[in-house]
Amino acid sequence: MADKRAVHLKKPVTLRPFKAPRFSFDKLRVCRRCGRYTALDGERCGQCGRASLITVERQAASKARSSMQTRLLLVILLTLAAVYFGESLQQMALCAGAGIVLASLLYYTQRKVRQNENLYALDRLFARNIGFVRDGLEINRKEAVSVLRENDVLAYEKLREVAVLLRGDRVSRQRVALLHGFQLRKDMNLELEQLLLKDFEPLLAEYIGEVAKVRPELIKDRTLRYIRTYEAQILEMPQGRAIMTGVAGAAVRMKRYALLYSNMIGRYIQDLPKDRFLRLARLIESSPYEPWDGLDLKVAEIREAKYRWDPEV
Amino acid sequence: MISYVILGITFLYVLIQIVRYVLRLRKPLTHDEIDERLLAALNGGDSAHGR
Repeated sequence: MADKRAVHLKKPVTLRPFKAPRFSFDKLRVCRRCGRYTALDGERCGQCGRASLITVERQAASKARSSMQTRLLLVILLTLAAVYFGESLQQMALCAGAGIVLASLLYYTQRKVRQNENLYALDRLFARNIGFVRDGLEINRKEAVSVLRENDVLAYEKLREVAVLLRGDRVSRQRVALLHGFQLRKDMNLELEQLLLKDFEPLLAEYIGEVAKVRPELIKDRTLRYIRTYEAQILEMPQGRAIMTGVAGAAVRMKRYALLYSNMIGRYIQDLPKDRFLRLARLIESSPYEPWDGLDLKVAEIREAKYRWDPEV
Repeated sequence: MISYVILGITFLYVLIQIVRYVLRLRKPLTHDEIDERLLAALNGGDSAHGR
């Protein structure tokens, strides 16, 4: 009943779809005017207000191109100087010819190594500007926190974008706190592994319990390890046992998890819903020679005690 | 004479540039490496945390 009341207090929300980029730096853009970095969506720079944001890859490619052009220009200038100082027409022609060959050779090589040079330029860009990148992301985070009171959904969406690059516990904790106020649904774009913290957080444990109900497929190895590590603290929470049972139920969807966390699952087996118990029983039946660490015996006991007369089990 | 000196300098400069490019090409950088380094720099070496 208390659980139901808690759900009613939560706000039904619609989160914008979010797809994590393949590389985290794909999220990062830089202003060509003021040089500020941002991970947030939007056309205009938050500092100078101009629509001159470009991706960091484009910025690095432009830097690599200009560096190559400068080198080529230097070769051309040196060639011109050699021609200028030529003492005879023959010497001038020889210098011009040799200069053209050298410049062409350099140009050809530059074209061949272009892709690799772009990547080196990107690496150099981050190495030189890491402080500015960090400052930009911190401003983004503060911006997200500043809209928290007026629009918690927007704040969460902004933090979600910043979290692609800033993966510390501070951002995760803020996101978990915001998610705690939302009503979770199956169709929502939820995350879990990215939100795991280094230490115990009751709100996170509660969130894991809810995710286990609506999106059990998100419960993976790292979450199970987190839950196992903080099992004692979770059990001290009012709904701790329900959380542990939900997670144990989600773990039995894969044989690997059932084997790895057999001890933990065994402690909550008597509370598992029938479908989860059935799933576990089938897993054990299909692989009776796996090291179930006593879980098979517990399943047999529960089957005898609870489902003796059930034809399905 | 001076024009040959300048031409020699140009030759050496082009040679050094090409050698630099070729050396870098033999040890190419990947997007994954850059991503990992960036995350490590931003999160205090804790790039594996999270994703």
